[in-house]
Amino acid sequence: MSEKLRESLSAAMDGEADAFELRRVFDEAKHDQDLREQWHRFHLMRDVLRQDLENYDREFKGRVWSSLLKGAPASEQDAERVLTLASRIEAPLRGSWWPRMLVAGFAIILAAGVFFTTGLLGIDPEGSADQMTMASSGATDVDEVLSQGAAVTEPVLYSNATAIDRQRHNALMLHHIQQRAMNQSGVVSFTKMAAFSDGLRAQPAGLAIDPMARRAP
Amino acid sequence: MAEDTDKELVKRVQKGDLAAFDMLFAKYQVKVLNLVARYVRDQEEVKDVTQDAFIKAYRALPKFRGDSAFYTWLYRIAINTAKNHLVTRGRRPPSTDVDIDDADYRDDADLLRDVDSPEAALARDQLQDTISRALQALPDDLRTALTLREFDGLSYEQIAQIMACPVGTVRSRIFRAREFVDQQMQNVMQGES
Repeated sequence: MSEKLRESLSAAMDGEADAFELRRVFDEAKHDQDLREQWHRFHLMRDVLRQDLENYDREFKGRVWSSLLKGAPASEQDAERVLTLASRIEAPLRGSWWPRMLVAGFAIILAAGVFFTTGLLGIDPEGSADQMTMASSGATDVDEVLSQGAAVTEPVLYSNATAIDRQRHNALMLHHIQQRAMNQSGVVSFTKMAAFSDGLRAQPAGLAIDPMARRAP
Repeated sequence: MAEDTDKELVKRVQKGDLAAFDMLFAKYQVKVLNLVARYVRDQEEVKDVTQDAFIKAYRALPKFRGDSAFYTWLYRIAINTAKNHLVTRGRRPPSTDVDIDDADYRDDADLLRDVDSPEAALARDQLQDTISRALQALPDDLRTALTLREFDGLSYEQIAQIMACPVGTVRSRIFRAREFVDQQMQNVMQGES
């Protein structure tokens, strides 16, 4: 249990933690009994300082949990054991990697298939306008929107996406932002989303790896 | 931006996270015990009714839509449970409810209530004494930050203005103060068990 996490716990108690911190500290507390115990003591401290302790009883927690989870034993230690057990039951679900690997593998194969069928691999940055049109199946749409001169509120292809596509995209972006916020590497590598209009043809900027090299004879 | 701790915990309980309910319980157990004690005198009955209220709340949480604050909702459950308890015991519940803002307030009549066992009272006194002494032993800046937060209920931003320091410093001071007091509490609690 790191000091940073304990400080987040303290801030969460005061309603001063931001959304990412809150999620992180509660995710951790789900599996960390020490963190939950500290949360209990911090609140007990608050109750004592505010002179609220008249009816407090240390055994009360165990009593409530044993009633809540019928058949469970009655002491505070046993209530903690039930909670720990619950965490362990959930842990294998979280830790099982092979179904995710299977899905990831399938996704990679699917992505590779799409990649080849849309002809992206055949693109030469110096190639013909025909090739470019084929390569960027969404580029015409991009060009249309950009040429309207209006502010683009959402990616062009995004507007054509189904509800499920949007949901997946939002979930991925949220996850990415969270990872970045915690000073970890994000899940999405940086790519240019915008495209530029160059005369009559549209070219996704992401394909122009080195603009300076293109100018060279 | 600060997020609503209760909302996040409730959301987690609704997804089946037991630990989140444990954290909500930790936050409100004393508050609900004190609220119920305004209706019921006997200490054991107070615990029974409070326990019922928490169990009802846990079972009803999947239906909680978050239209009101979690504590407002829990407070209504606790009051209804206490009143039902009085009716089933053939006693007449009070005609007016304890106001949510006055739920922590105790009048002189409360002092006449049946008291807990001497051992429990001693343990409570010892804990109170420990926390009080730990608070006195804190360096001034830590003590001021913690007391402004706990006694006056000020936000980190307000405390930062009073103490003329950044919000991050306030946050760190409050945390360090709590850790120090917590250490003393653990020593006492481990000695008891």
